[in-house]
Amino acid sequence: MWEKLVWKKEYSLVLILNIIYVLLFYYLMSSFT
Amino acid sequence: MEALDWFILSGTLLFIVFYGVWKTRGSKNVHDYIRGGSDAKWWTIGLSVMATQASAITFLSTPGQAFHDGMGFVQFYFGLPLALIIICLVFVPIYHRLKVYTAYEFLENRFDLKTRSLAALLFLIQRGLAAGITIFAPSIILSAVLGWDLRTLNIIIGILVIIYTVTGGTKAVSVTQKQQMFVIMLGMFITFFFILSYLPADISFNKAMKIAGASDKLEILDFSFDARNRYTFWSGITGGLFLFLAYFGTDQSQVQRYLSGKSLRESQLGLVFNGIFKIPMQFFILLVGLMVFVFYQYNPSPLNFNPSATRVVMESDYADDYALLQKAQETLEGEKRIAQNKFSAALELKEYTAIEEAERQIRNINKKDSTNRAVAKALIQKADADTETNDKDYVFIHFILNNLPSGLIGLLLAVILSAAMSSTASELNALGTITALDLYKRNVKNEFNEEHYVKMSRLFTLLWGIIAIFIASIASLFDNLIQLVNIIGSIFYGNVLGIFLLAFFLRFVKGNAVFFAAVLTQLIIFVLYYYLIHIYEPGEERLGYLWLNFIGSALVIALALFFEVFDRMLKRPEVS
Repeated sequence: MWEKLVWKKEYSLVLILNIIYVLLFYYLMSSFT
Repeated sequence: MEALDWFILSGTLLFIVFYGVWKTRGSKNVHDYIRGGSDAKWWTIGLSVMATQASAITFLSTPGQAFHDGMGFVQFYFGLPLALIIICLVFVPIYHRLKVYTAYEFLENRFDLKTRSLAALLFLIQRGLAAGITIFAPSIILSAVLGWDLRTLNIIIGILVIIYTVTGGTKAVSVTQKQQMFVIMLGMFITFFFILSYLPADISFNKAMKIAGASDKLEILDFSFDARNRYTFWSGITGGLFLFLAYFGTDQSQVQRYLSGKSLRESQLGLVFNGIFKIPMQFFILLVGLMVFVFYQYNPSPLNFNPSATRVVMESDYADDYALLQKAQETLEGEKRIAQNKFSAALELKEYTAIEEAERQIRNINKKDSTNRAVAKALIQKADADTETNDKDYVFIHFILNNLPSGLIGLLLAVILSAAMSSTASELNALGTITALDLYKRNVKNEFNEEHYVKMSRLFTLLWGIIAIFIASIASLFDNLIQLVNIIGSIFYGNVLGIFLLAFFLRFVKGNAVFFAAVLTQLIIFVLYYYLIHIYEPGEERLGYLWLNFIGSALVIALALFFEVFDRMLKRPEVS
């Protein structure tokens, strides 16, 4: 099963973008308080 | 509502319905009707998945959530991108390789017919009820604020959806969802800029955010492990991951969206699209709610945004008490405006001591405001214990109807009804498909031609549409119905997800073990629900109902493993 899993670059993009979102939103919200 | 609003509202909805019917006329075989001809591109799939998840209550309730509790709700979605990646990696390739029409068809392939039928049945029970509530939830709110007849509204929404879902099947659902998402996002963007323009002249977006910050509405991340706090980073990453895996990976109303993809890659990219845009979209909707909050710092707001609740208390023995409370709230709102102006002036002059002083004052006023609203809720409860006092769902619609210009009100109502229709369409489409293919086709002995199964799919979709309207019509007989649907979902989701996880990752476990484990798990979950949740008053439960998702999943996996090992031990030949 595990050997059939194919990681694609889009998944890395999803992960990286979402980490950036969380950091960015946190930074933005903190800057207003 | 003025004539222009009616024109925009009815024009938008009718256009979507007729476009759906016209664009998908002539679906003759099962492949066209159920999988939409398998020619959907990634952006169609992406928008369709997004529109299915975003029901009317998303657009009514989320801004209200930000109004009352701030931006923290966005953490609920943190598990979603992870869940979508797992589904792209594991679920979608298998569904595509086996060319299945439904998620449960895979279970017959992997286990046996009885496991497939059981999973299909569990889906029909919970999703059938949910389809009724998807119609009922916006209807009850719109009927309360606009005075429209609840039953008529249920029937109108139901019939509009039935028309294009029955005639065009999956393709009609997808093409209409593209238009619906366009209307929804257009309406939300225009509203956002209108709210900003309604703020006092000296309040820029920057200042509006600082005002929200002074009222502690910008706390976006909560790393605490407090189980009583519903939305934390950890609950989003763990509970959310679990919930979204079950929803996107095993719920046919979502699976059918990405199975219509032209290829495996298009299906995966459609889900990747959601992984990229879902969290920013939810953030934006919460931001709209935040701006509504700032707007009401300078404008009068009712003690309770639900007009029915206010009506109930004003027609009771507590009317005088409530009127006094309203007077006190008006005085408080005057103080609030003065404090906000002080805060704004201090910000302008960058006088940090004055800023801190104004912030302290605003926090004190907010405390009094919360107390007034809590007292108002208590009075409403005393007047009529059955009246819903939670007014989160009414905040945004109250703002729309009382402040937006003519034309935009019609567009925003089209947004809400479009969202209701897009979710209901996916649900009816899935319910019709599962009934026709998983239950009827696989359990009726005779073999029929393709045309017969398309006809039966249409008939079952129509039948489920009528059932959904019926459930929506009797829904008001139950208390706190939306929560009830979430509870029912949690009762079944964990078990079904567990079956799928067994199918994907534990190849040595066979059909009999899984089937009996699933039946036993469902019975145990019913018992746990009854003795730990149902018999207790709300808030006094011994177990949060969301835990049922995890327990159901873990239990079915553990029991299936036990049964399989036990079965193999019994079958092992004795060595003499």
